[in-house]
Amino acid sequence: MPLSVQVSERQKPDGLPATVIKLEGSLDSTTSPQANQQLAPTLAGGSNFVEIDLAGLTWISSAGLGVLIHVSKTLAARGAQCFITNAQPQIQKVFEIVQAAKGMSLFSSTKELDDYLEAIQRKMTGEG
Amino acid sequence: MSAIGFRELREGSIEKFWRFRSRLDDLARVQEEIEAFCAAHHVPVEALYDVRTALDEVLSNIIRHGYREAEGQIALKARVSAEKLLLEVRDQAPPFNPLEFPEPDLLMDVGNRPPGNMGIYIVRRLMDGVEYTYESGENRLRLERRLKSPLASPGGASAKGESET
Repeated sequence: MPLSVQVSERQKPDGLPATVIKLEGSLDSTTSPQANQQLAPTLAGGSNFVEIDLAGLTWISSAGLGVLIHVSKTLAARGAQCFITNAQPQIQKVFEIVQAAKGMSLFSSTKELDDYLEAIQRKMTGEG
Repeated sequence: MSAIGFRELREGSIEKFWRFRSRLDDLARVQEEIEAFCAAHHVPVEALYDVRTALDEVLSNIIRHGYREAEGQIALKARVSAEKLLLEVRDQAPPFNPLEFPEPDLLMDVGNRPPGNMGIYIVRRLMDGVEYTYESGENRLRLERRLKSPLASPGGASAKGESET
């Protein structure tokens, strides 16, 4: 199964832009090189907030995990935030097996992520 | 690649064989064949997800580390019955027992772990049985995934490793 990589922007609850990377299909040994290539511009760009939306991702293997880890680490190294959302059950299963939550920020949905961001913002502005 | 055999066994299971080159584009086509085979024989989709991931790990290991990107042949047999799906992968790369490799340190940050080891660990967690042998100049890896039983949650394969030369 091929991989589709779509990059777009959305607005976060605080009004600031977020880059959204949608990965659809399969992220495995055969598609990981393509993923790395297609994600390079985003990694090199200036976005400080990246959401990787896995709602349409059906398969993942350790090669695909390597891509996600590489993206997370590269963004963290330049002070940007990276969140992974909407993983389907079979993808979550692999995340749990390798304890991916140790080192990557995983949220079950974009809404859960936005709720988290709003809570952080309320704390910072003293409203929480 | 070619599907070189298909047979219905007396005990009610179906077997199919493929032989293909150790190349990533053949790996992609093998995955499509396995998906079609599983769909045709009513393998539950959860098992198919696990099998597909496990095969990606096993086959990519053979291509990268076994044959080290050189041209080689890989044979795959899939046997499905109502109770289980058996996969056997054979290659002629130098002897390589993936079960000998240590498990990844799951306490470490996923980004800081040494590379490697994650793939086979995933296979052992997704499959109900993993066995390795080296026979007649071939690495042989057998994967078993139970298809029936509400208790069949793949929480750990009973891994056996034997080397015979």
